[in-house]
Amino acid sequence: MSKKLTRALACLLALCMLWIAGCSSAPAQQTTPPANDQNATESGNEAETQPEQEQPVAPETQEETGYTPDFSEKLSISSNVQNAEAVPGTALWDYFQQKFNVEIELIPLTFNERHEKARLWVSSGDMPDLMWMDLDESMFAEYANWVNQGMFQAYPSMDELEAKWPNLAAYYQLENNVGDELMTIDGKWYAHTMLRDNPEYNFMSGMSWMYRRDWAKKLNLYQEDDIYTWDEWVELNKAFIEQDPGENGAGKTIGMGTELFYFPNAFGVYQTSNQYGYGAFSPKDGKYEWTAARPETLEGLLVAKDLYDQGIIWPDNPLGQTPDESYKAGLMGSDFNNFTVDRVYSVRKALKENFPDIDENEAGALAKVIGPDGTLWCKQSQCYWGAVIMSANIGEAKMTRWMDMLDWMLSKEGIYFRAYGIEGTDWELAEDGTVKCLWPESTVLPGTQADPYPDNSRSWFNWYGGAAISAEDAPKVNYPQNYIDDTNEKFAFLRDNGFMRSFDYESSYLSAENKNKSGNFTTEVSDKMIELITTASKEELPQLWNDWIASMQDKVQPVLDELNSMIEDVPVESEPRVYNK
Amino acid sequence: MAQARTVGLRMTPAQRRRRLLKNIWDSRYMYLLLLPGVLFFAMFRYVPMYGIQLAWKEFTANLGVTGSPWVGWEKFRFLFAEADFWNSLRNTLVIAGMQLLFVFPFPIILAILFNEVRQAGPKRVMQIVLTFPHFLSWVILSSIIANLLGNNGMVNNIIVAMGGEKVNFLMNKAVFRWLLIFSLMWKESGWNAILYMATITSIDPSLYEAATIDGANRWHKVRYITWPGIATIVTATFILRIGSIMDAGYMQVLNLYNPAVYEVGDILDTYIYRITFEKAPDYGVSTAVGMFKGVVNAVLMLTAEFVSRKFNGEGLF
Repeated sequence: MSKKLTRALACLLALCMLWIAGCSSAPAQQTTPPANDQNATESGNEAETQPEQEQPVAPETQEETGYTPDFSEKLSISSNVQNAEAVPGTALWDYFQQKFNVEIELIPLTFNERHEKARLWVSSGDMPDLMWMDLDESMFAEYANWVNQGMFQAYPSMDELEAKWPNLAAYYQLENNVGDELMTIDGKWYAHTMLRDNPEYNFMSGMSWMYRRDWAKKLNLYQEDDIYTWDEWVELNKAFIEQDPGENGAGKTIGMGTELFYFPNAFGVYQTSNQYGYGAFSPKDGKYEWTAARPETLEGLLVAKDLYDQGIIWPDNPLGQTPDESYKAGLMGSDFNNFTVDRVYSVRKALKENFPDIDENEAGALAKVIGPDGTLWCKQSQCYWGAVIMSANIGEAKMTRWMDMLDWMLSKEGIYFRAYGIEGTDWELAEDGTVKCLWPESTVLPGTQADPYPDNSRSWFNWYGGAAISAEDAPKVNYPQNYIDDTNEKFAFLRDNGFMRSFDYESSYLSAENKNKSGNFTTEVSDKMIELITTASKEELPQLWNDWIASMQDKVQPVLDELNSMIEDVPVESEPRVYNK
Repeated sequence: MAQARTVGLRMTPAQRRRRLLKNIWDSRYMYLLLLPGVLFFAMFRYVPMYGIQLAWKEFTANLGVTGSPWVGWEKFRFLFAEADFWNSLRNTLVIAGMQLLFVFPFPIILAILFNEVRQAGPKRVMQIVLTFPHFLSWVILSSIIANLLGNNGMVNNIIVAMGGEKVNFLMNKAVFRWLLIFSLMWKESGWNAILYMATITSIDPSLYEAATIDGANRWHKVRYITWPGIATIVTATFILRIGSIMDAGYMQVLNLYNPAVYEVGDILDTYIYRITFEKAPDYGVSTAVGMFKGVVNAVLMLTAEFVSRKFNGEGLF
């Protein structure tokens, strides 16, 4: 190698390395100020505020309070979101950013890493200005810790909401919306919770079965109105595997499948156990007990074990593969999942696309399955799903802009925008005040209208829109009516005939030292169940389970002691009611 | 030589500094080539070490690493009382031991076998085929393995076609460690063999010619020429491997394991991952595990170096 070439190579390598090193370093973070000190929380990012590109439309003044939003300063706000790549570049996104004179920096996130990323961002000081979190009861302990450490910005008081952001104030005054109360720590709340869209069904979870009704009919095992006893259900799924009505080939048809986070609970534990409805801790004789330690949990575990050993449960399920794909591919007989109308639509549409000749309503029917104990179990969720948290570094200007955005997205206009798109182009109001969607007719699903925007381009609005959009707010015009009717029929049937315990907010959302440190042990319970179902024999399982429960007592007992000492009104245990088919 | 040393000793500190600077300037392009490596190690290996203090602290996000309060040995006490920690330590040692026993010698054997292949074409094809898996990440390879060995995978379909019953390879405690060993062999043996092949190439061909004239067969040549020729590099790589024995394949295990095989597959690195990211994290405990791992690695490496020098006369340092 010539000397000149060596010199050039050396310089190039050194420069490359320095460049890479320079690119990899994050912008300097400000020292975290104490929470709620809004005057002291001007973010360093605001220095990046860009000059005006296009003057936004002047916002209207709130008539009652005289508050006028000020969008004159262009702000850059960071936020995490799923499908980040699909969001920018649409007319929707441009319209929204222009309307509020913001540039929203999207930080990509995949659903499976949602908890991991939240932990990393908060701990490392890299939290975006707005952070969406799947803030359910399993994450509440960490939320409480972070609040106590001053990592989040508190939301304005209800008085301030009423004065400046009336839609948001009205949202929190809804009778069934207790999100602000749940998220309140030491008198302040730090997370905006997204109300679910099914208060008429008491926030019943969509967790239920979809199955191949066409296969059941072919095997002469179909039960009227899709109502099955546990034995009938097991027999049906066994027949799916053995008789292969879908003609997939020997050994290729799967019986039951579910998401990893419902495994193995979906196959017996939920149908026998107090875990279904109470959560990690459940009341017994005026005291809380660890639900995993109750006999019903072991009973359900043995039901699941029996199904697994018979090969009725998808053998690859514990490996974390998603059942929807196998179901859509026509390989699976029944799928336990969160079957809200969105998922029903997604699965049936895919079935129709994959198998144009089949009736997707028959191939994706919703079953009502009675548990082994004769109870038609259903589960109440907390009233919300997902929450938006503000970084302690967000600063007054960005926080106010976020509140303006949130308030608008909860208004009628904002709801129509999130549901359909831009006024005049995607929707208009009829003379009687009802909304009319202007989307074109669908060529795939006759009788419906096709969403003109790309798949997933509404991700940000779905996560940050303030609340889920109910059918009452804005009808889902891209869903065939019978998909909606079938889903509603299932919910109504379960509401009227099933057994659903009230969600126990008290124990789930208690902030206490040991509970905040240990969490609610759901991961440990789930991991142990998977291990025993897949590797232990049915005879040795009860002993191994009980030994493990005993080994965990040292960790669990301090949390139970806290619950029992801090919660005065322990719920009265309700006995499951039997459904007679 | 002795004169030069004497002259060197007589130099004043200022003269020595000037001489050093002159040497650096004379070899400036070599130093420039060294710079990226130095920067890399400084940034990604040494600077992050300030985080080690977390093993003795109760980390709180608002106070950061340096501001969090000291808690003494509390994290270590907690760790050593955890059954999962001891289980993961045992698995780490067992899996690393199996790797040392089965995976480590395989590239050496492969290199020697390659050396015995005389036809360049097939030799090159085999090398490419065996080296290629190294360039696939464990994420991709684990998907391939899951598809091959899953319930509806090719292997199980063949078993069923031959009249057998399906085997749940990926959730079988008896099989899992061997799965790790064979998949690691598949992925890395071809790549690791390159080092040994390069060393074999540097052996003087006249030694083989002389041995042939003396009537040595192929085995004799391997035994008395090839092996002594690569023994030094084998010793060095062995000591390095001993020094990282607590690294039993984080990415591999993370992508292949599942709760059914935690008992036999959960290693220290995946244990750290789970206690840090899959539930409410305690960064102090995670750091304590990492610290423990590093100390054991260092002790083992120094022991291997000592033993190697004692019995082999050669070491790494």
